[in-house]
Amino acid sequence: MKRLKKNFYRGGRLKEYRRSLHFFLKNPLTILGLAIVISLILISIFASQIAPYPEQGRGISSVKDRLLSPNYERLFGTDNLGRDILSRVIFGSRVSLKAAVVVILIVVVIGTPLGIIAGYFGGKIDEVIMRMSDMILAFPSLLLAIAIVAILGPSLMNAMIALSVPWWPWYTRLARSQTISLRERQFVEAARAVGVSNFKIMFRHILPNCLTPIIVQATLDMGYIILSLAGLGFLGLGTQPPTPDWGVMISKGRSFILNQWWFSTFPGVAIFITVLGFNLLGDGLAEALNPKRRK
Amino acid sequence: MSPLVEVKNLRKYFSVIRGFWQRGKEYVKAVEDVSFSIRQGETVGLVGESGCGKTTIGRTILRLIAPTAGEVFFKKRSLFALEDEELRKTRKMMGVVFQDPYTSLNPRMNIQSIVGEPLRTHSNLKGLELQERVIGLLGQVGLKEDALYRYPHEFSGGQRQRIGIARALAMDPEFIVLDEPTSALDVSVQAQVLNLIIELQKKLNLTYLFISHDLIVVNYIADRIMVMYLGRIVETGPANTIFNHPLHPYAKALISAVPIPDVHQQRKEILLQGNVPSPINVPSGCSFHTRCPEMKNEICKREVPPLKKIDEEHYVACHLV
Repeated sequence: MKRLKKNFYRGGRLKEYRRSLHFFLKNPLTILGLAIVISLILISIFASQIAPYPEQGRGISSVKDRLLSPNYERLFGTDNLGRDILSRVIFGSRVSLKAAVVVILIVVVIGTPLGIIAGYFGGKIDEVIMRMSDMILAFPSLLLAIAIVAILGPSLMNAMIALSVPWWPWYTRLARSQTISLRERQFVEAARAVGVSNFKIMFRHILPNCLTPIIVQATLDMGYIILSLAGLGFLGLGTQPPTPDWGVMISKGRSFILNQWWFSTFPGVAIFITVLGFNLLGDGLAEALNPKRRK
Repeated sequence: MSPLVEVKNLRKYFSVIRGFWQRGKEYVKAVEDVSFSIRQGETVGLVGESGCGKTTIGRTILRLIAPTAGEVFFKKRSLFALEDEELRKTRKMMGVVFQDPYTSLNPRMNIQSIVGEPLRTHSNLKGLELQERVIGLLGQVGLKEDALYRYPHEFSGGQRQRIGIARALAMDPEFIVLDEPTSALDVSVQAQVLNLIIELQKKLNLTYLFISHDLIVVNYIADRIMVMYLGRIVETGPANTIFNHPLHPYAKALISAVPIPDVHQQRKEILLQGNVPSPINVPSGCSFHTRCPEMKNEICKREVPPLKKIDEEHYVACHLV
């Protein structure tokens, strides 16, 4: 019987992936980044199983244990409401990761198509989209986000919206620059000569070819967005207590920093490691996927 | 026989942005008043050096860019008046093969998707039917069906160009623009691809516009040759005539530069002085007069020479002929 001959002839794509994988795995720093990110994901998935005091991690206080210094039972100590900081940090990863993923998705989904449209059509459409993005880029992103949260009212949801607004133009710029170089390539011309519609050209020919730098950028930005979310949390504009959030924890621990150092320090270390992990992973990806950056 | 493609007084100027304040005040005159026609079943060669407007003509005929002035008729219908459905139907009858086989195939699509794209755009073929058609097309250009799910980077330049040809053939076109299809290939592979192109023409009754800067290649494949210089056609005629008895000084110089594979035969090579003038500031009168070794009269500097009929089909744009 005749069937689609798909499984007979494979391997081309695979070969390319394997090569990229080779460069990806060759760099020990990338492996470290990957390990950090994977463990972070696992920790946030299995937070309830890993955390020694899951109910405290979620926000139940136990005032009699307040401000215990780190000991064998409570490795990271407890906070001013007697909650286990290790559990809070573990549950905090959930909030941070989820929020960062949502922000990245919003930003990529809005920014990339706009950039492709701007780059592909050029002219007036390009001017309108790019001037809009320039306007937003003219503000410091965190400041703009603070202003937006101030208008919308502080909550995690609003913090995510507030971070998406100043962030999408980066993806628009990236996608636009890629599109402009791709638009002149002959395979796009060939598709136009055949009569393929503009939408299909953008979707089938341009988008897949500009995805690589976008994925790299998104990985790098995960770290920055987690950092910014923590910043908003620190200012009281993001996650609201008792939901665990690294930024909020640092801010709450601020008044105790001289005597109870562990309160602010451990969430800070968590942010540091997370951002480092995503940056290392992003750099490794960029190197593996872009032959020009291979050493 | 009536012409399949007819180009009338085609002009294409590209505006040049000079600084911020004076946009579009200067133009690159890529194509200047070009007229010609291509008959059904013939191969017309378009030669000239880089930047003389060959590719621009090809792209205009395919309606990839709009001309500044002039018209292109395909099967007696004005190409630039066509809309939607009519345009789609016309596009089906035209194909194109590009110069660079490395950028003309989407690196993220497999061969089945690339060759099948015109089919998906213009027909309802799907799944197995589509695949069989693609296999048929690959067979026509000498590729096996194991290419289907492979990606362009796994093929050599010659094979990629075959894939490009298969894509151009997908909708059974009548007319194909070949834009330097062999200039990016090794000489040995060039010959194979050229022979394939000739073979396909005989089998499928195709009409070609063959754009190239390589005179030997054009002489090998074309029935008629048009020689271009700075956006104008300076001489046009049957391939043999142009190759053996060129009349225009530029055509003479071009053909004298073709190497002859015979050590004993001597031929005087005409060396042109200077560079091609910028297409932004085209010289007055005959655009070739600044480099013409035979220029004598003042008229060359003043007046643009019209195409003069020398013989049946043989036209030259020179005041001296």
